[in-house]
Amino acid sequence: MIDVEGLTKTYGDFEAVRGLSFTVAPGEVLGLVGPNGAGKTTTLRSIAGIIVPTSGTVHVGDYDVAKAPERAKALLAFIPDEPQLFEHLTVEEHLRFIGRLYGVSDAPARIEPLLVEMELLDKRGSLPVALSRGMRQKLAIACGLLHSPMALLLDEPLTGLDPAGMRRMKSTIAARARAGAAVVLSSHLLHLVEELCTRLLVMQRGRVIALGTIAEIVAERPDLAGRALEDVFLALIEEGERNDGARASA
Amino acid sequence: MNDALRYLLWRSARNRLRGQVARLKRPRYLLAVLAGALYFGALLFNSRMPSPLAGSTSTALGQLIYTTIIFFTIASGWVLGSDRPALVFSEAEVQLLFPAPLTRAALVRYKVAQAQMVVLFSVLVWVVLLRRGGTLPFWMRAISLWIILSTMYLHRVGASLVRTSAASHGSRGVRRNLIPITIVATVVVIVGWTVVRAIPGVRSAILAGEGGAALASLASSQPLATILFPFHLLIAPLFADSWKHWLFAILPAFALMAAHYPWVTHTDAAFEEAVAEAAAKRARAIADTRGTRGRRALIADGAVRRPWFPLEPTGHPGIAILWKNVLAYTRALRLRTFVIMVCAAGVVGSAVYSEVGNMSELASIGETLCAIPLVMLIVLGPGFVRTDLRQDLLQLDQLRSYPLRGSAIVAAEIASTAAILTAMQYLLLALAAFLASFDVRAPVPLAPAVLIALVVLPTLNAISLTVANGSALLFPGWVRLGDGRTAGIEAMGQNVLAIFVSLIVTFVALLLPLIVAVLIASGVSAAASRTLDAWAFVAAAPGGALVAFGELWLVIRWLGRVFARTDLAQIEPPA
Repeated sequence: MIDVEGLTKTYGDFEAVRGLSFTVAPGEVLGLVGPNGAGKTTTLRSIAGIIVPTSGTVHVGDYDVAKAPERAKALLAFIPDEPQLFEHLTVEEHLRFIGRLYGVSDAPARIEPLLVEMELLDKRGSLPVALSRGMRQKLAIACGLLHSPMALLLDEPLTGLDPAGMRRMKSTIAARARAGAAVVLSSHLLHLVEELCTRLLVMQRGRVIALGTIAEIVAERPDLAGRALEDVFLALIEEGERNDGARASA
Repeated sequence: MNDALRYLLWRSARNRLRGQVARLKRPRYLLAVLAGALYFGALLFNSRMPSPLAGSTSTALGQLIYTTIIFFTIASGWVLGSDRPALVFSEAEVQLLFPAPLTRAALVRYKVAQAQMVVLFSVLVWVVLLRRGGTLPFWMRAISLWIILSTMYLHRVGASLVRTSAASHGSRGVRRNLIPITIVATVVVIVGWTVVRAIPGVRSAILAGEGGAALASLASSQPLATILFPFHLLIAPLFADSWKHWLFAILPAFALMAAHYPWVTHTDAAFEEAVAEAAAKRARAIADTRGTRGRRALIADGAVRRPWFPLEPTGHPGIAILWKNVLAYTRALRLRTFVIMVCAAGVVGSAVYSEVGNMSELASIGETLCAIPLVMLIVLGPGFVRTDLRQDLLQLDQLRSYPLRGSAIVAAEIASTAAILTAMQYLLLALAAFLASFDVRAPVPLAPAVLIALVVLPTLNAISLTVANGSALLFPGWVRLGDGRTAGIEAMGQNVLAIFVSLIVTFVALLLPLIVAVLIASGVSAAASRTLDAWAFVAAAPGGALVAFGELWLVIRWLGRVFARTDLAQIEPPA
């Protein structure tokens, strides 16, 4: 469903993402992890067609995001870490607006169940100014889910949610994956990644330093066997730092 | 001023300037700066280069016009201003400065000093635009302008603090500020009544070609002469024709400015809460919506206005953007402003009717009163109504993720504001046409004028809004995005500059459509063996509009590609 090949994004001399390649199949949840500045958000934005890669290709479904951006975008939803809402549209109007943008003919019928799922039904007539941080996050997610995207890109989806909201959100993401969506999820919450993701992509300074299931990653580093994901992650990052240092001094 | 605040001010200004200079590494910005410098340099140093405002400071009528503009600007701050302080603090300033051991006066002084950056830039712009209007060297003119703009800024801040105090303390607040409120209310009523009563006479004088003399006579008659005296005092140095006169005039003007400073800095209005609330809302708007919220939007939960038209789930997705923007504009409107305007129109109409006593004359004056805001909407409207890319560009991530072509998004955004402006202009046009039907001496034939306007107004709006949105897309580092245009008297120079540049580009874009329209009109007249009259232009207007929209189609396609390539790093939320 999502096919990234040799993705590179540079800003002047700075390489935010270097030669990234991976695929995400329908029903799969890929966890994108890495320290701050690793290039996770740039990767998600490139897949979503928000930024134009310097080189490489991104396919969503059968469509190349660079060559057929409208068709590719119609298949995906990108939910950023900071919810972006229109201050003058109510909760329900946001969903109607998105429905029209994506041509969801049965949008009115989909809105109510979605509001129930996101616990926003009693706020359907409220403007974003009257919503809490978590509610705004839920509304942004509801906007992303309205057109039943086949590819779901989530950047720190649990930010601002309370424990109950987090649990609900995790089950929503899992349900979408079970329904056949390819999900790419970026997060610093390693327990979330461990719980939800079928595979992991660990990034550092724009490069892939590990890709696979947790078992596959650990299998390549026997010294990490039996360790918690957090320890595995930190060990990989440390190793990456050492390699970068060695490359720089060479 | 406190050392820490001085440091903050200096470092912020320095870093901001460095950022602006660094931006010139981009060829697009560098070229624009060079073109601007070339044009304004020529305006300043080449005496043959026409300047729109040159000479306006050497005539009595110019002096009267500037005095009146300043009076109305200041009066509107009291009558139509917000109940929130004009001191705008960023969320960072609120979080770091408000809990710090700083006095209220220190905070106000800091803001006043910060505003000087904008004031000085405005002075520079005005000096260039006014050019060789008098005999004074440019630095004397610059000092005069600095005093005028600084005084106006201080007065605006002072007025807003009085309003804040009155609004936050209810009747006790009104009692505390009884003296300034009473003075301003009395002045506004007296001026309003005097002007309304004089309208028929002044209009007749204007039609007879003696408008300037009639206006001067009105301004020098009592009580207007007394009321306008402080404003006259403030503006006098700009109109001085010799060193001696300038020195004589600059001292009272300076004293006027100096008198404002303690009034503002020693305020006892507890502005912190209102300012902090405004800053938090602004910060949340930037963080959550990245700036769709206008400064005017004061929407309480539960007071949500219904959409003007329903949005069907299917159809062209661009309509959804238009729907969203129209909704945003109507929800941000302040009902109070409309009520005041309608009441003022009613009072003016009644007073004028009691003076002239006949419907035809009243209708004729009414037409003029409709034509003034109509022209203002054409020229200034694109700067005021901004529910388009200038608001939404801060949400570039979101816009780009929509399954629409860049050009479709740009077109829908421009169409939103064009639709709003055109609707307002059509309303004024309809009102003017209705009044004209009672006017037996209507200056232009009604039917062709209305038909031409129906075609020309949306075309003009589309062109000027494409210029405005194109500027935002091409120069996001220069155009203020999100929170409305740069506000305040101190920023008058910036706004004038923006309008000026926009008018030049719009004029260039109109050249070809105008030529085509004239050619068609001439052809139609020749074919019908008639003289070139208004009806020939009725036939030609759609042709000219078609050419204009053809130009826009090409430009919007190009802007769509720019939209798709715009670097997110260039888009900065408003400070």
